Amino acid sequence: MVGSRIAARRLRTALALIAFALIHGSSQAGTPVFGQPSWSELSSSQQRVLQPLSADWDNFESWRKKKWLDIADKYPRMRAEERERVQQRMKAWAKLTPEERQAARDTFRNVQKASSVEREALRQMWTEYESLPAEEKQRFQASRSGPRPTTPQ
Amino acid sequence: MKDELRFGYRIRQLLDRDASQVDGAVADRLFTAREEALTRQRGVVAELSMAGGGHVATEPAFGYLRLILATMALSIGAAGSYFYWNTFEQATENAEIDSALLADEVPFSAYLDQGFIRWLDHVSQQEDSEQP
Repeated sequence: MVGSRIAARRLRTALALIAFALIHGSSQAGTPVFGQPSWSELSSSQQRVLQPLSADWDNFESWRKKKWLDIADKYPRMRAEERERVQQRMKAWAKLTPEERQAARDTFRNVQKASSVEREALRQMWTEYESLPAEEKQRFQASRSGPRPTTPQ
Repeated sequence: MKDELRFGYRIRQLLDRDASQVDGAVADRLFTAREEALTRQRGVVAELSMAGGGHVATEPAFGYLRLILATMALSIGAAGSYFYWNTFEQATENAEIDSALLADEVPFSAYLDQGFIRWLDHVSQQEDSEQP
């Protein structure tokens, strides 16, 4: 009886310590875990950067807002052409499904591991593909194994 | 109130004086009587404790129930915190990769365009067949 009381007291102390560690840990990291600002609560500079997302912002989950706020923090350190690309693409990126975004991230990570020569080759190939006539691209998009018969050899 | 205090003080003085005047035999009897009274009191307290046995037995049960509930609440809280924390950690990581991906020269649509991937296959096959 006495032993079990001591065990219960120890368990209670351990629980209190864990609770303290949880609260202390989350407060130390400095990231607000709950609640992220609504569109009207953003600073003017954040609103300027995230303007393409203004219509959808208030419907975003907290962690998505946090991600975009982190991107907005990085934005001033980007080159002018990078900033332009980010703003042009962010709306379309936000409209993708989580699975599509993850697939794009995974491929991008793999591409980043390639050499700069290979990455430059990929960029050129994309430019070349983009310049194909629309119907030619559609044929490749519709085909499962590649439209060899319709493509000039 | 003032009179009561004065009266109490006088009584105490009288008792102190009388106690100092008690002879040895009387003092021994008083001591024995006191001991007996204390023993009887201990017995009554023990009996009362046994009579309240139900209360004594149920108290630890409530204590354990409280402990179990507290453990469950804390476990749920810890799991929730872990989920949230993990999600926010993921958000930070995604901010890194997404900012690089969105700023890159190759647009993200290239990585999702199955037509582009098939076209790359097609071109590389062409190049292979053209090689002597």
